[in-house]
Amino acid sequence: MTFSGLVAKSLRFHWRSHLGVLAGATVATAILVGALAVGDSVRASLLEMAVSRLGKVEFALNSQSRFFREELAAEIATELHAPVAPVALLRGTAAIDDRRAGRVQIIGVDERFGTLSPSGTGPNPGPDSVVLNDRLATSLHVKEGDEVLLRIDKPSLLSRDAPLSTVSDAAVALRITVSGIVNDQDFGRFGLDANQIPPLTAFVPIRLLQKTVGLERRANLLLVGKASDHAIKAADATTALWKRWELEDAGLQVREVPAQRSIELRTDAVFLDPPVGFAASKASPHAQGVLTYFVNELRLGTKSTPYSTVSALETSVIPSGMRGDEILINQWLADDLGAKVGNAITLKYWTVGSMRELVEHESTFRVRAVLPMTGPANDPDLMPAIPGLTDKKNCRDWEPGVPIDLKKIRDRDQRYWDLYRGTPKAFIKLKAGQEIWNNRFGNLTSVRFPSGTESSEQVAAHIKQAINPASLGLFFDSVRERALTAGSQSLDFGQLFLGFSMFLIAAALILTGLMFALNVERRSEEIGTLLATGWTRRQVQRYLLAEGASIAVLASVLGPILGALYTKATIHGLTTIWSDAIAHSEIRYHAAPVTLVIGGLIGIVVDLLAIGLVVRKQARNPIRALLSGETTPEIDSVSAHEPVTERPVWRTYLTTVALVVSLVLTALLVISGFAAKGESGAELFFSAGALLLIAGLIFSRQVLVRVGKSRKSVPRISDIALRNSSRRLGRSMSAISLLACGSFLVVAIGASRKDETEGSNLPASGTGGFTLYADSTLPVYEDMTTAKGQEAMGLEAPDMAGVQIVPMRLRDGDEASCLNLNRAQVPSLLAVSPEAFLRRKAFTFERILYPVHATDPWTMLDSPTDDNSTPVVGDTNTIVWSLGKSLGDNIPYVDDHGNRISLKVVGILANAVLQGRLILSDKNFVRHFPSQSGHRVFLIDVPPGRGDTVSKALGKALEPVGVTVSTTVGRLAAFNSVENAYLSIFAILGGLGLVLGSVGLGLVVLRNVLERRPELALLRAVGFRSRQLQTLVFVEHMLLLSLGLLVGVVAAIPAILPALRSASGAAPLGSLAATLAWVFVSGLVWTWLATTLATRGPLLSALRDD
Amino acid sequence: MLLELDNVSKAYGATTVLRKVNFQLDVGETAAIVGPSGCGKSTMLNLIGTLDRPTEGRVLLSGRDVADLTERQLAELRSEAIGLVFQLHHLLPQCTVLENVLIPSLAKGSVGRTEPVESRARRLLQRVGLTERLERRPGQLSGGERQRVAVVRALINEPKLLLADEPTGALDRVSGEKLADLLVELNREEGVAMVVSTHALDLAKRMSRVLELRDGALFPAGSLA
Repeated sequence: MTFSGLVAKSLRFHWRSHLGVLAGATVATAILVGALAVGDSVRASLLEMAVSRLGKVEFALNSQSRFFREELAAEIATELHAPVAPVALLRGTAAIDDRRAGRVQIIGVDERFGTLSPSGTGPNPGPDSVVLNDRLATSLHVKEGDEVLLRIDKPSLLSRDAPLSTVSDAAVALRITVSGIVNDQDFGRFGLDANQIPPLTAFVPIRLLQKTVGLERRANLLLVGKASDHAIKAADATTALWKRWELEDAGLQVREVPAQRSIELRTDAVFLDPPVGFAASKASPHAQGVLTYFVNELRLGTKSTPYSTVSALETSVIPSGMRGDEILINQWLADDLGAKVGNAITLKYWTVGSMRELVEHESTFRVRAVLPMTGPANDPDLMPAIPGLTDKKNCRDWEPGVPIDLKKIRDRDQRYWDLYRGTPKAFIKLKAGQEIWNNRFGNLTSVRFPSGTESSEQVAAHIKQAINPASLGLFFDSVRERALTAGSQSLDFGQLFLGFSMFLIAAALILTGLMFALNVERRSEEIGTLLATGWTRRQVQRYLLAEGASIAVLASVLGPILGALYTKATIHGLTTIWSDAIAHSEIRYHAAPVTLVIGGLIGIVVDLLAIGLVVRKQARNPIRALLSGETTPEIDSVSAHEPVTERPVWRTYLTTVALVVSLVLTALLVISGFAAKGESGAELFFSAGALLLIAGLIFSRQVLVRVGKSRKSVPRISDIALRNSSRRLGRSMSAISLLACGSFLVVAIGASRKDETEGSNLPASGTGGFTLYADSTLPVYEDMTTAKGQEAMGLEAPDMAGVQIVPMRLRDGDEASCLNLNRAQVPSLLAVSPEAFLRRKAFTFERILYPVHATDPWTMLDSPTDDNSTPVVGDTNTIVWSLGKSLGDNIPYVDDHGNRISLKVVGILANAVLQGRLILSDKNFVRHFPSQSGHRVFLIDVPPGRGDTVSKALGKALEPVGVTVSTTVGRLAAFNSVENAYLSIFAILGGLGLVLGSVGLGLVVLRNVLERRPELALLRAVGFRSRQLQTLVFVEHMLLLSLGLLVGVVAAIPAILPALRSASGAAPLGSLAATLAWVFVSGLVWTWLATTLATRGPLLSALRDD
Repeated sequence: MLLELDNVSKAYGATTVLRKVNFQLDVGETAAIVGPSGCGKSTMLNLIGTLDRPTEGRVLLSGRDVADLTERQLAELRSEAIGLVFQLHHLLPQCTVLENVLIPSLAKGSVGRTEPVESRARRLLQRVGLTERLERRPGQLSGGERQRVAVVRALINEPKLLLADEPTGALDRVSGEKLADLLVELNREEGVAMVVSTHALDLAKRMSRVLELRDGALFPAGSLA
């Protein structure tokens, strides 16, 4: 006979009794494992999506608006011995008939792209045809053979925000036949942003797309795939790029200017990028910068010469000693204006402000000399290639991107153009030119080097060596690693569901404990015998615990099996009724073996805790009591040990005072809640509910005490039953408290809903006081609040009367909102002019980093930070949940120049319509991301009652740029739907927990009745019928069930007042009522079953035993 | 002196069950406690068996005051020095006869015993005529057999003192007599001292001393006709 042998025998002998314990423990383990497996499933699904999104792609070079040679792909492939695909990736819209889709990625591909897809065959659009991904095809209801119209954002070498750039050709249209629709295996999910929602994608042949946008044999995306026989590191890709990239890949050319005996670095983008200009200037000690600008007018007195170029130089044309306010003019201009040395000539020219706002400036220079039309001044190459200007033969065909009055152009101007083309008519010092024509796109149009000492190839090599290609946006990003990180660091649904399932787990554990307690109580004689024969209490506890552990171990094996079903059911819920919680993502079941093992082990621990508590309590009972079959002495009974007359008066008074204070405080909190707004109001209501719950429990205790005290000369069955409920006051109050707290939380939290409509017209609300939110696929360059902008965009002035628009720049990236399950790695950025929000005190800051800005927090965006980082703000969901950051944290980012910059979180906004993006100032944005031109996000303030009209007008007029207009309230509702779905899940799982808990009530009944069998037997002996005994027990426990639920539900009413008042009326009161009804009915059924079970059989033997 | 009750009183709430009871028992001596139902016989045995503590007075076992002992030491005392037999046998239904007998040995190893515990169990069971029943479960035994198993269980750890609380109370007359014979014989053979509380005069008379518990006090019993 051994200890373990005894445990095994006991397990076998009591197996029927242990089944209940096993069931409870299995359910607890199953829910635990199931919740963790939900997390696994979400994470694995996201990783699967990441893998299918990127196929075999390891690294990507995404140069956005900068198009490099397509050949670079083959060259890097040779270096890396790996597949490399050139891709042209553009934004656009797609339409067929009246069905439209914005935010479409138009991808120009060749067969190399397909080899990187998961299937290895990928999308292969035939010549002059397009292949759509599933999502786009579904969204447009398109099938093969249909013809769709693609509207494509035409890349411009010169930023559309830059002076002299044009916007008239900002988009091109392409009507094309659909030749196929691809699924995930064929790159249907391809995209660089970490998001579980597949993008809308149209694949077209790269040749066709290049031709359409006028960038033959150019690409802006390189994808490096896995090598078949070796691993490629990021450093390898970077080395290959550094080795193979050419100046041409950055839109740069080095050419000889024989007439000037110099070599020139110039760009197709008019202005040399600042890093290029800086590097080129440092490449040689003889480098000379050139800035040539288009001026509207050169005036001397009443005479003027229209539309000319003026160069700011540091070449030999500029004599030493020339001052900054002096100018050299050529003979032609001197003749035209009648200018002489010493005259003051005024230059008029445009500079570009925000929203392409053109501001005409003028500067006056004194003529230092007149240069002949031969020699260094006759240099047409000083003029950069300006689209719409240099490519025109006739001046009157000019379309320079700035308003010009062609009528001002005279015949002599045309003759100058014919003879000298863009030869500058005047020259100033470089420094002077950079001061007046300063712009963020560059302060040089070319850099010249003397040609005597070095060849153009040598100069090009020096320049190339001096430039870091990353500073031009040419760098490889480990997209696969980033995607996997985004998936693996995603919101932990395992923990989330553990939280949601806490009630269920707790209920199952309570059930396990109660079942075990019941078993142990039924074996009290055995325990007593063991103690009487010399076992220590610790040994007895170990013996019982060993039995419990064996059951827990078995449950840890069965639990995961049942847990898999729970996970599948939960995933079904998540993909159907709760799809808002996962932003309508496709989640598939996946449980990692390690999760099952960990879940099982945790299950053993928590089951043992529940069992251990019971064992600890049971083994404490006196031996003689155990031997006589007694379980728990009625030490807490009102009627047994607390004579009515002996109850201290002060305790009654104290209880009454506590009750009154709770009720008064509840009332005060409710009144305050009505006065308060937003979330603080909701907190007050919840607190009021919690207080009412306490008051309810005090009241319940009073009721039980009073019922226990009541004495009648001839009591009815129900009177005895009610009095019995106070016999074990502690146990009764525990049952009531558990039911009350459970139902309170389920109702209070389950019915809570974020109400986006409350105060939505106030600037401090989540809408910022704006009515509409619009975002466009293609940038908008016009100021739609001006007559000119409205006319350009096709908006009717009456529609736009009184409308205010805050435009924002957007840099695409990972959406960092609750709608993206992935952990955003490169969050999308939004640029705003802080004054726009400051003026109207828009939105509410929950926290700010610099208290000195407390009254005007938006100014933080343009204020310096302590570590030279770029200040950003974002809403709570973005910063805390999506990015996992907090106030004061720095977020690393790579800007357009390839510089690693830090974005410092200086403020956190309360739930706002701008969720999903980091917000920085327009000034900082254009500094770091000059390639992002135009505005793509708009907050629109509309006069009351005109929201629909303005929305329709904007939607119609901005259709070509793929605009989506929604109400700010609607957008907030979309964000809130996630949280609201979480609350629904909590309510339903919590409700299930309560239902499971109601089974526990049945067990409490069983325990109570088994304890009182002799007493019930006596009642039988004196003539009570079996049914009367059942009624006696049933009524007693119904009082507990009813009181528990009633107290919980009534207490929850103040807590759900905000939801009841909500205009959106989203509180799921029906389903909550159904849940509670289910709990009540379940409680009834289990109580009745337990009553029937416990009161049947030979009760009279119990009397004899006694 | 093996056992001494020194002015022991026991009260439950306002009800005093035992009043200043004095009692001594030597090694190998036997005594019967008789008295009407509710007179406190079981309470007295519970106090001697350390299942309960006196309200006043001392219970000394081998000169040691049990009040000075911790829970653990009391358990050790019960395991090593005291054997308990109850009116109801309290056998573990999941265990066989042999296993039931061995249950107390699980509380402590076989250290200090004169013979291996299982051999002793088998010998004792043979002694009480249960050799054929070793693998039976309690449910397969008669009431008398169960009680004999309970007696053997009480003796398995070679206690110095056997306490039997109404050992024949749940048995028929024949079984009761057989059990009485057994107890007397075991006292003789094993040298174990014995205190038996009983209503059964036949059993009481077979003890070397008979004491009557009346109104909470212990008196030498008069003539037991």
